[in-house]
Amino acid sequence: MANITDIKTDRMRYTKNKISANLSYLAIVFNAIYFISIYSSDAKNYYYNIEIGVSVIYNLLFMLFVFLASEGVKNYDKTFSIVLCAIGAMQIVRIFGIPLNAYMTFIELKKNQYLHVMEAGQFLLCVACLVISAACAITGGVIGIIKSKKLREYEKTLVSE
Amino acid sequence: MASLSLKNLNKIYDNNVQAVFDFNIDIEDGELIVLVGPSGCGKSTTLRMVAGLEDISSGTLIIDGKDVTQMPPKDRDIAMVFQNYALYAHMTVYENMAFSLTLLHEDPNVIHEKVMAAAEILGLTDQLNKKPKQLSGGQRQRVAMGRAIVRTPKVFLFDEPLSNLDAKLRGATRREILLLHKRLKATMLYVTHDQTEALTLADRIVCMSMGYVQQIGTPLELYDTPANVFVASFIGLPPMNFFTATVCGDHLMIDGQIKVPLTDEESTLLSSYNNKEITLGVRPENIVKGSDVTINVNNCENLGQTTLIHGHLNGHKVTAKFREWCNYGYGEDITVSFNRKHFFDKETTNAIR
Repeated sequence: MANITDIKTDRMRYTKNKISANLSYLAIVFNAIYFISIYSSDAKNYYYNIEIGVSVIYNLLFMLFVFLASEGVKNYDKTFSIVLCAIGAMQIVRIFGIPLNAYMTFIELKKNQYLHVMEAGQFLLCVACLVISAACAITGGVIGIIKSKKLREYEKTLVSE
Repeated sequence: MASLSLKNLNKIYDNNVQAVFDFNIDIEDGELIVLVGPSGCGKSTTLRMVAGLEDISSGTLIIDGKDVTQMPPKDRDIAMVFQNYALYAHMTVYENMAFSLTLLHEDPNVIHEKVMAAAEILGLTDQLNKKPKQLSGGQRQRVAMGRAIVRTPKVFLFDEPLSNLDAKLRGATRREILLLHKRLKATMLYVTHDQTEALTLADRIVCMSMGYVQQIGTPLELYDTPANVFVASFIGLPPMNFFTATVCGDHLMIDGQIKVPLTDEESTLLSSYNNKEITLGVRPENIVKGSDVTINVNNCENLGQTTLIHGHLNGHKVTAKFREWCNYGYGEDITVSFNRKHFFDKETTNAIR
């Protein structure tokens, strides 16, 4: 074997892309923390609308697809890496959905007595979870894309040899 | 690689059963030693004592000049290949082979080079991404060997590695082990109950019975000059024929009826046994067509190049191996001669030399 770069690339033929897969799992974990913390509120029935159902379904789909993508990126699949990046980007978009709306919304408990649906602390926690989840997914995806590209090119050189 | 020295090794289990009695051997660097014997003779126990999987009751084990008798297995720098492969089913071949080095926190690039080199030696390069269940028995055993090779241990231990394979695969894998030994020049201790494996693989064979070492020697020594009746009966296929005979000067008498002539050399050798009973041993391949004794044929087994003739010599079962295609019928008499004889003391069962 010629040099250390070649060895590293050659190693990829027999080892899994564990970094990307582990980052995907981490994305799921932070999404779960976000999901656990978001609906804690004193504003009694604020969340009792269609959004809660959509949110639950989205979270289930998120976990399913990220898990599937993690299996794909583990095997250096470029398509799954792109999917992982896209899902990660969606996590950022989600900040502007329920969390921001809840943070910006006040509801009137009694006359002239208003309450934040989501306090600053809770909002920051939700945002942090989503940002970390997004960062993990996007980083995992990007690493997956780079590695899969590198591996395909290396395999092409092997075939041509 | 390293030399290995077993000095007065004994194994006594908690229930006071002694499995190994005073095992002594000095194994040179790069030697392939085969421990052979029937089931329960203590060969695997000896191997496990070397590996550190069994406590040594008494005696000393020295590897590369260092006393390792009390050392835990992980520190002995020994690799063992088991009969049942002991591969991790959820790992690929590559991961199985790399696993031990990963535990040692070796650099992944170094691990990769070692695994690839071992895979190349064992012809597993195309199988590295497969799981053990996708491999044949022979391939699995090669993976197990590869796992041992990557560690570059001081000593390789093989515990009946071919027993789970079918006959054809066993032959092929046996040749691979032999090539591996030639290539790695590694010190190997190999346990088997199959004397063919022992004869074809070993630099030296240790023949064991009931926990005792019966004979240590090269395959030819064990075949040609067995130390006692046990070794003579265990080594060689088909096994040696044995008869109780009385020494009568220039000939032997079997049952007082069958006269077996002796050469001058043989007569001299047996001079101190005149008029005494001895055990006469004759290998099937040393029975040739002649005019000394008559065998009553039971049946013939034609094996292509050779024919095994099973019959009776005055009521004693006898097997002869002729280097030609023969078709003797049941009850037919053939006259034969013994062109090579082995003599054993009837009481001690030791060879008379």
